[in-house]
Amino acid sequence: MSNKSSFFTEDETDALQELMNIAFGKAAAELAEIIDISVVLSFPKLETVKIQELPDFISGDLSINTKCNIVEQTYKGEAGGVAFLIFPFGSESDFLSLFHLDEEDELELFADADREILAEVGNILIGACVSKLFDLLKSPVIYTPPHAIIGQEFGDKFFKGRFSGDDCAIILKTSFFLSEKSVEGFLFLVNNQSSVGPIKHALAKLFESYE
Amino acid sequence: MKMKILIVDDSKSARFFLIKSLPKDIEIEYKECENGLECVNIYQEFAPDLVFLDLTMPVMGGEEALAKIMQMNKNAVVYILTADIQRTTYERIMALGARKFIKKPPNKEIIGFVVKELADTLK
Repeated sequence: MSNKSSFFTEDETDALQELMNIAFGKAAAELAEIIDISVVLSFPKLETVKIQELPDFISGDLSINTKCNIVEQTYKGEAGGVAFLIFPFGSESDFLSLFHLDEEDELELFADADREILAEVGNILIGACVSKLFDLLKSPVIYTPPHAIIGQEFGDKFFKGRFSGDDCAIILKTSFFLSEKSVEGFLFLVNNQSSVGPIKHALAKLFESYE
Repeated sequence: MKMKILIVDDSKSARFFLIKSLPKDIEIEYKECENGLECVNIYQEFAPDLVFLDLTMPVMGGEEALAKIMQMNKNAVVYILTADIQRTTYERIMALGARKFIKKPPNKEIIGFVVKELADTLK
């Protein structure tokens, strides 16, 4: 199923994984400061697959059966794409409890509190992670606001018409342990074929900078 | 006298970035390994002056490896080089006996400075 060799070499994949590791570490540190907990990071695993293989990859590897929570955020630039953060359906209440909202806050957030909190968590993690990644690659990006969906079926229908069959998904699988709550999540970036070249070029420049 | 450095990181790229950041004007003998277990096994026979240790690794993470190294040698010099830059992680790791906590990616100036600083104390 995995088709990583067609996008990046083994060394490029290792370097991207290391950069994603650094970027996600920064994102986790920012989240930990905001909600005053520690985020235990697992060993991250990076793979790249073709976009049409992504639903099978996710459903086969994550404990998500039919529904999940999705935060998506588009970033634009030479290596632009869409970042998705996926959590199991039901995790929204875990996130909500971590923010220790008082009654007034909950009233202000109204019935949409779960989605608002999920979008905020996604914004912090995606924003810090993607920013750091492309900062390390010296390839700037700009963002559209994040969009959170609770209880979305994740499958072919979700992607239909949005991406071409040649587009690639750069998947970072990682687990979060937030205080006593264990929430496993996936962060992945979907980039079109044309952005693979600039990413490869940026990786080569990064290696050169250490020579 | 050659300075002996053990570099522990599961990422080949991360090890490459660190090796290329080591100062060129002092004699260094280095070894690489990919996880905490290998690090602990190599530590005693190689007897490094300095260990650069990542935290998030498969098989055995850096935190467990640090604890085992400090049990073997309470004067071990271990510099943590990590992406996990949370305050709570820093406090936990420094309490275990790490001498420095450096955030990734390695920077030639910083790595050069901390290695030379230690080399001066070994003369």
